[in-house]
Amino acid sequence: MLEYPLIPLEIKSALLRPTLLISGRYDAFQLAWKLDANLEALKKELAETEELLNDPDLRDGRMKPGASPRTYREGYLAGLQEVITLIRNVTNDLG
Amino acid sequence: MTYDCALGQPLRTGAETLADLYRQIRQVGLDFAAADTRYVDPLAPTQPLGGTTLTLPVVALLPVDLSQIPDDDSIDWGQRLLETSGIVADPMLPKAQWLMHNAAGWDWFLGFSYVSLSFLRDLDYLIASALFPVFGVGLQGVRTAGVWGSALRDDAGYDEAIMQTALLSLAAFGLYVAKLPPGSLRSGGSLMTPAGPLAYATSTVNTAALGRGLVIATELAHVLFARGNQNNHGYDQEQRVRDALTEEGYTQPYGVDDQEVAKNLGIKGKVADFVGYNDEIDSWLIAESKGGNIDHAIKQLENTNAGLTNTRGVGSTEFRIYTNADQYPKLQGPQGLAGYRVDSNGYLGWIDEFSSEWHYVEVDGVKVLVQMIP
Repeated sequence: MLEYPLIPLEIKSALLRPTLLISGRYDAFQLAWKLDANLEALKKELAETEELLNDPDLRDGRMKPGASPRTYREGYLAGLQEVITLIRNVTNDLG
Repeated sequence: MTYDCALGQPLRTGAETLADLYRQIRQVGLDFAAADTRYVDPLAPTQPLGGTTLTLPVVALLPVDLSQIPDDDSIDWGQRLLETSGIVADPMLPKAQWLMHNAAGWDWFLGFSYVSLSFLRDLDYLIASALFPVFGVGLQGVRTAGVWGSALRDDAGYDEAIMQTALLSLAAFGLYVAKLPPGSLRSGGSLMTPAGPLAYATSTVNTAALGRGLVIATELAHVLFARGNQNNHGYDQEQRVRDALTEEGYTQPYGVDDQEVAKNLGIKGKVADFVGYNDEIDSWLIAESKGGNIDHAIKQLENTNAGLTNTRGVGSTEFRIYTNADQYPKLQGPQGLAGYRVDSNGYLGWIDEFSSEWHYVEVDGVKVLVQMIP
């Protein structure tokens, strides 16, 4: 007996990408809280994420375009960039 | 307070509790020679510190068990330092600004930094690899430590008491290093192991004060090590996995933790927690316990497998990732964990969003099994 209604494959596929991107972005903001908005630490995380996304050994595998781990990391990277900019701006405003 | 001891010799502080030890260390003063003008208070640049007895409001010793430096999650050691030194930082104010604003009332600030050097990976502790007794540099030290510390997981378990101990112990250590005459510190710093013996600086140590500081720091390092392990959830998780795998019949011929494994297999970079061999099934197992960073866990399995293959040649090897009860259900759900999911048998994989095809994560052609930490 099915506990959940079946979701058509097309809808699943359509949901997947934004879900992963949002999840990655959310995790990046969570990290900023966890790190007490430490810019240096966030920049280090950003560099590591870029390195992972550009790893030539993974380019044809789990980090190829369209692979779910890559999509998540793309969201995570965007979130890190966003949060770093945000913190910089607020810091500048504080003088 | 004076201690009658020689460098490298055991020191009997008489302290029966950590609190006693704190009190004793707090009373260790620093008496700069009048002629010593190398260290200048940047807040009053024209006023040398010579001739002043100082105490250290913020100091640091980092009880860095290198095996406990994973690659995911993080804590901000700079923040911990502030908190555990009795200072509550305003979370709305960047730490650097906050320090600049509040430090004027301090006598002295001793920052710190530490480095993760590959050639030191066989040491259990790396303590105070760099000391910055000048305020301005100390500030940078805190920043640097925050960056490096970001590699540490927040369940590392160093509670406030432990961090206070750490802070105080570096006071005992660092302030005397700062006091050495120019050119006398040849090898620099002090590396300590939990086994007790020290690789002391081979400097021309002619002050009892330096020996005193180092020995006190050593004693504290032991306390830290013991207490740190008791409170270290990450360590506990890894240990539970090791225990469970030992019960499954695996022995660990290349070492019982990632440091030993890295050393014995000649692995540089990320290494897995567990490399075991089961002679009943003639198979190897490489396992990593992880909070949530699956990407790093896979990398650790791959690196370790490369080291094992180089050492042992090709053989039958299983791969497992252990994750906690919070994270595992995410891997089973539609959203997954960081883009990864497990199939009904627990094997790790991912989805190609263009084709909706499922792909297994494989290390050397072998699927990776994900299980919950026992």
